[in-house]
Amino acid sequence: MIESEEAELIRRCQGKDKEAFRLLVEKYRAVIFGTAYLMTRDRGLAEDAVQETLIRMWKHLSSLRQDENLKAWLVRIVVNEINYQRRKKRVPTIPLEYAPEIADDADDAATTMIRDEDRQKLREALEMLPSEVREAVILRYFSELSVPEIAAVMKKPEGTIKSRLSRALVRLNEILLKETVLDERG
Amino acid sequence: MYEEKIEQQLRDYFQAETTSIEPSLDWWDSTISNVIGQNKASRRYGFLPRTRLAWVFLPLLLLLLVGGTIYAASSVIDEFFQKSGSVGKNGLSQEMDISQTINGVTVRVQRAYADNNVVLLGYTVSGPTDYLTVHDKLITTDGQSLPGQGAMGFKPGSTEVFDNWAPTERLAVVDTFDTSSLSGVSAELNLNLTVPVQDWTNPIPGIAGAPVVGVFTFNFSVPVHTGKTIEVNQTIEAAGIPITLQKVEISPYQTEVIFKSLPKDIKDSGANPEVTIKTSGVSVSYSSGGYKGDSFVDYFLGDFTGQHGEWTVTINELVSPGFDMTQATELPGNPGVYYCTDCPPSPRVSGPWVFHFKVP
Repeated sequence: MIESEEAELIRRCQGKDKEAFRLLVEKYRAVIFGTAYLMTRDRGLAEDAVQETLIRMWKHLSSLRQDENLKAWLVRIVVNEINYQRRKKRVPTIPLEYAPEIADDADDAATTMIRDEDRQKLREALEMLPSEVREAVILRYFSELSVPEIAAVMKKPEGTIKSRLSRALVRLNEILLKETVLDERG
Repeated sequence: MYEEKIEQQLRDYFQAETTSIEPSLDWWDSTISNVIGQNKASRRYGFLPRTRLAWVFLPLLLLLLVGGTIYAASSVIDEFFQKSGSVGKNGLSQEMDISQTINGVTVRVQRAYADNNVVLLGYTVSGPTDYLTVHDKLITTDGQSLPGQGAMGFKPGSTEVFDNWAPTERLAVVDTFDTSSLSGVSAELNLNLTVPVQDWTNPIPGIAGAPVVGVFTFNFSVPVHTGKTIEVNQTIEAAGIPITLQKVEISPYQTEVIFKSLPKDIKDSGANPEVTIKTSGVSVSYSSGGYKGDSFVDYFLGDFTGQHGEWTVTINELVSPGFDMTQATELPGNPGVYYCTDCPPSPRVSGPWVFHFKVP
C-alpha cells in the first residue's frame, strides 16, 4: 500500500468508511497484535488490548494529526491499553520461559532444533532484561518504531530510550556469549 | 558488529514468536465486525452495543439467540430490513426493485426508507466477481446533498445472519444518509442515487486502484415518515458544568437528542455524554453519539413516536472512551506530530444532568 493510498484510507476511515477501516487493520494487525502479545505474553490479554485498540481507532482516528504516523499511533494506543490493564487488574508479567512454545514449520528437524535452541537463549536473555528495557527493545525491533516514537509511547526522553536500547544490545550480547561459552564447555 | 547481529536476531525472534500465535482470520474478521458494528462492545464497557448500527443487529441477535426465529424473506435486503427493528417490523420501508446493468454488472435497489432524520437504502450488486462500493452519493432532485452516515456491506458467506442471497449476488449494501439538514422536506423525497461500483478481485489493489466497472444512477421517490421535533431548550448545571438540551427529534427509525453549549474543554477532550431516555413506556440507555458542530447529538435507534407524556433525559456522566487529547504534546523534532504523553484512559465527569419535558 503506497503512502497516498494509506492517507486516502485514513481519510475515509475518519469518515467511518468500514471497508477502509478493514484495510487499515489488515495492514497493521500483525504489529498491533504482536506488540500486545510480546508485552503481555498472554494471548487473551493481547486480544483484549487489540480489541480496545481497534475500538479507539474506529472512534478516534479523527484525532490523528496530519502527517502523524498511523503505526506509531496504534502502537501507542495498544501499549497504553496494556498499561491501563496492568494498573487496573495487575496483569501478571509472565516469565518468558513459561510462554507458549512456538511451532516451527521447518521441515529439517536439525534446523528446527538449532532454531529452537537459539530462540530459547534469546528468550531467556530477554527475560533477564529489566521490563522497561525489554519493552523498548520490543518497540524498536518488533514494532519498528523510531527512537522519538518510542520516547513518546514510553513517556521518556529520547536520550533515555537510546541509552536503554544501547545497553540492551550490550547486555544481550553478553548473555548470549556467556551462554554459548557455557554450552561449548558443556 | 555484534549490534547488527543481535538486532537481526531480535527481529527474527520476535517475528517467529508472533507469527505463529497470531489470531485466525476469522478472529480478525469477527473483531473488526464487532468494532465497526459494535455488536460486542469493549469488555471494559460491557456487552452492549454503542452505535446506532449496532442497534440494527441487537434485535436480530436476540432473535437468533432466543429461538432461532427466521423471517421468511425473498431477498437478503428484505431480510436485513425485516430483522432491523421498527422500520422492518412495522413495514415502513418501501419496496423499490429498480435495477441497472452496466458491463455485465447489475445493481438492484430493493428497499428504501426515509424520515426526518435518515434515508436508508438497500441494494445488491450482482456479477461475475467481487465488488466494492464506497463512493455512494445521494442528492435530492433539487440539488441538496445528503451526508452519508455510514454503510453496511455484506458478502455471501461473510455472515451467518443473512442467507437469502440470489446466486449471482456478490454484495449487499445498506446505506444510511442524513436528512436532518434538508430544507423543505415534504411528504415525499425525490432522490438521485449514484453508486460507483469497483472491481474488488484479488489481489486487492487498494481502493484508489480498484477499477470502476460502472457508475450506476437511480432516480426514485420515497415517502417520508414524519416524526416530531420537541424544542426543549433547558439548561441544567451539575459538577459546575451547564449543559443545554436543545431539542429532541423523534422519528420511527431513531430519536436524536441534541445538546448544545458543552464546554469547550469537554468537547476538546472528546468526552461524550452518557445518556438515558426514560418515558412511561421505555427506559433506554444504549445509544451512540457524536459532535455535530457545536452540538452533541445522541442517537437512540428504535421507534419512540408512540411515547407521549413525561420524558426524562439524563446525562449520567461525561465520558471519554479515548484519550484526553487536551494533554497531547508535539513530538520533539516532528513538527505537527502530536502524542498524548500522559493519557488517562477514560476521563469522567459525574453528573447527573436531568432534563424533564413533555411530549404531546
